[in-house]
Amino acid sequence: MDKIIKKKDLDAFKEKGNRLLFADSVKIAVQAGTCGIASGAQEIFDFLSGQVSSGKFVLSRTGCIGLCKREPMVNVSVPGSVTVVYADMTKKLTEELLKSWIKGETPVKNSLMTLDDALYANPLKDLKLPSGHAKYRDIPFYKKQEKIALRNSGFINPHNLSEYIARGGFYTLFDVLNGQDSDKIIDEIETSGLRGRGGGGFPTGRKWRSCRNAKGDKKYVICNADEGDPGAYMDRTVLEGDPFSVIEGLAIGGYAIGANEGYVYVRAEYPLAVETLKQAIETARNHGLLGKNIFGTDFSFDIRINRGGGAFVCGESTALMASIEGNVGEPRTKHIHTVESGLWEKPTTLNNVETWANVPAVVNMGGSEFRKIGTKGSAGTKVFSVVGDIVNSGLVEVPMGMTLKELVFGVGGGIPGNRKLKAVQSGGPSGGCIPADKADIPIDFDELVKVGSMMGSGGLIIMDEDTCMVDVARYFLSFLVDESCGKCTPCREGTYQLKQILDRITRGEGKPGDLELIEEIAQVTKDCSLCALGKSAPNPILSTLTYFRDEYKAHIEKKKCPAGVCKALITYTIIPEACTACGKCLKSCPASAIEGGKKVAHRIIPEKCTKCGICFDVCAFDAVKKV
Amino acid sequence: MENNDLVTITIDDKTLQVKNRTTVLEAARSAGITIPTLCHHEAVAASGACRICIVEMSVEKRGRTVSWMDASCVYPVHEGLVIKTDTPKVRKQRKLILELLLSRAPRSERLLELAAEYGAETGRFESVNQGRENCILCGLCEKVCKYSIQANVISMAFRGVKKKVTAPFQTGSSLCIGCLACYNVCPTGAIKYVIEGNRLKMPAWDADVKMQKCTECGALYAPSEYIKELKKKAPGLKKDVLSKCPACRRKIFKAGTPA
Ligand SMILES: Cc1cc2nc3c(=O)[nH]c(=O)nc-3n(C[C@H](O)[C@H](O)[C@H](O)COP(=O)(O)O)c2cc1C
Ligand code: SF4
Ligand code: SF4
Ligand code: FES
Repeated sequence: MDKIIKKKDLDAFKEKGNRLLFADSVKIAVQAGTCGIASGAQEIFDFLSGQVSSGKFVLSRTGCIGLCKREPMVNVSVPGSVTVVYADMTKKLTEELLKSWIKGETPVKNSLMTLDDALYANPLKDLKLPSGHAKYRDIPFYKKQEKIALRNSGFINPHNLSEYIARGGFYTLFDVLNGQDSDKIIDEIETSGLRGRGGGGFPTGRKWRSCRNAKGDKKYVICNADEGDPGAYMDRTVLEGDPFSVIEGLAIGGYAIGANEGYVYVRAEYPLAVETLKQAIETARNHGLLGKNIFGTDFSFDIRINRGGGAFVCGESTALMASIEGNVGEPRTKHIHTVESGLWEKPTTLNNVETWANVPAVVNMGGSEFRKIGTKGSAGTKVFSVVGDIVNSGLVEVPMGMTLKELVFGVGGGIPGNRKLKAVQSGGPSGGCIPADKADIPIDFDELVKVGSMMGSGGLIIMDEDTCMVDVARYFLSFLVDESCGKCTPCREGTYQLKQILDRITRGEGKPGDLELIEEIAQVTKDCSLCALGKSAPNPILSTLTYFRDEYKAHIEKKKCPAGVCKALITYTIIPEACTACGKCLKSCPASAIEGGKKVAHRIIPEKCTKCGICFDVCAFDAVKKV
Repeated sequence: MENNDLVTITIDDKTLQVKNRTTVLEAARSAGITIPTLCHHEAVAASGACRICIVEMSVEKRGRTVSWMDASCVYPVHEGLVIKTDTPKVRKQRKLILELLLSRAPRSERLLELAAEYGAETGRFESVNQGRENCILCGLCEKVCKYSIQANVISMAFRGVKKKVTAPFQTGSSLCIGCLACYNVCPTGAIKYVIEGNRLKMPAWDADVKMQKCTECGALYAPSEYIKELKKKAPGLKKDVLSKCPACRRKIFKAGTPA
């Protein structure tokens, strides 16, 4: 296979890539990340595969472009025109639209937008904007996004090296290996102000510098793709949509700190990400971009994939390294830093997927350019997976400094059904809940900590007024109880006892003194746990106690759940005067807990009622009351 | 700074010089200060699991005092470290840690002793009965079996509150040599053994091993597999020395037979 050694080799790939990206024929690329496939993209892809032999179009696949809510999505380009993205697609619609596409037409039916943004521009020639379609920046969801880590996802074919190179890929590594010394690269990263995207927000440049300076004959770089936070899928999307960016990042990092081996620790529950990455590593190897003497220089570097079993705690740096070594994935004390003694007791640099994906972009644009994006303390952009009570659930990348409110109401399109925002939970399971009246804080590592939450790796859960904050705290705590490795006392026993108390409170068995006891346990768990899982585990309780203490009190003192969520604390009744005896609730009740007849007002039998709430939802006359 | 360099630290208002990177626990002990420990044992590397040995630490950083809690048995000292081992905060947190442990091991004598010292109450928390009675999951038995004896009979299984020490697949183990190292290191007395006839049994690991007869007096004195192991580990010893019970061995030594 043709090796890439000289700049002209890269140029040849670039040309080929551009021909693929901006084809001379009709090109259809199905967005087939895990999220796309889950909503039916594979069926569309298979259908198109069956048609491709007609020779009337070329078929490709790409990753997710972020608006998961509207998948499956299909990118269609006809010669000379800007690509059009179609959303909410089905096989039937594809079949119908295909007839126009192959004629070089792009109907507006199901069109979401055109990819007319500078980010997706054809470097060789200007393309015509097909009429009638919304422009990329017209869509509120994309209007204020700024894509660095997600620059290629949803646009290029993740399996195709030349498409990555056409987007400027591997040129940065080429320049780095040909003539830059490693200190200069670390300077660049330090100047950029890039902070780790995996949770802690540690300055990446400083980490690299310590590792570079640590004594050791062998050093390692690792990419953390364990992504265990419930509801988070930033890293998966990057690996599925743009795996070469992570490979290039790791190679640059390896060169900078003096490592010849890299690992990607990725959870086995991400089969498509693993497969995509595996193929990309092989392709890079075949073309000499990994392996011995990359670009004909003295630098050799290769990457291995390590699959994790899905324990949340294995995302913690020392547990992750223990797991790669083949030991039980339990954290150890970090008084000797992993940059000095990490994997196999060698100096090791661990960074998150998104951090690594940022690296080539940062080096390419230069540290001071990157620093211009974002806030003083948090440079650049951050990818969030926005889920919960939000119109546009999906993956977004926004500049740091945007307010949470803007993210929820601008980018996210607000709360469905015009309900009110109650809180935003950020920072993963051990993050905190930020109340609506604090939602005008800017997205920034330090600002989020100030309000009792944290950046975390980018999970963002939006909660409307129908959310019970005690229940939310209990949910996150349950996750942490299950995921605590159990090595140290405060985390293992403390989180468990906290959960027992919350269980009692939501069952209506709260006692005076419970809140003080919670605070006592939480303090010890925070202060004395061995690793960051335990140290941060009380956050969901402490933040909700700070901002929603009255809600806890209502549960304990009045045995009421103000949001009407905790089943033990609510009852459903039918108001006879409002009941028209239509019988709808009676038919819908799965527990046969409703009695009544023709023209006889219905009644709920309390002993039988399981409080599922179906009657409440189905009654057209508002006759069912929840108290 | 190298590990042999001396650093100056302060423990409970005593200023002392110790080797860089010795642990706070070692430093405190050298100064005659007692810190309670449960999961710490000279025989194995410290893991910092139980957290009963927490102390308050602080340093001066750019004119500000930064303080935090950490486990003294694993924390390596560094220049200027100020340590307080018995403040009201330390006592309060140790008390709660004890209460949490008592919910799992309510009858452990060592825990009850410490509970009395720190005023820990029993019954504030729901009891946790997931593992072995009185086991606080300190990990010492696992480590001594794995690293010191190298028999690898037991290890931790499961996570969180469901964690427990067990033989593989939670079944009995045929690898146990009956050395009783685990029994000896266990801080809470959670591991028991009995001798029935010529067998030594440890219900905790379902172990059942044969006892060896003294070639001199015929008394059962140690498990056979254990003796075999010792013979392998000390090949220099005259063969039959280990085949005799301690009492007979002593007699022989007194009579001047060289080992
Ligand atoms: C319990 C726990 C789970 C974690 N899970 C992840 C994870 O899934 N992915 C990740 O990148 N970092 C995770 N981290 C953070 C890592 O320990 C580490 O700080 C990070 O990978 C460093 O990379 P960064 O500097 O690029 O953020 C976790 C930390 C803890 C304490
Ligand atoms: S804090 Fe929790 S996850 Fe971390 S070592 Fe302790 S028990 Fe394990
Ligand atoms: S049995 Fe004893 S030594 Fe083993 S983990 Fe439990 S308390 Fe520790
Ligand atoms: S004795 Fe130090 S943590 Fe257990």
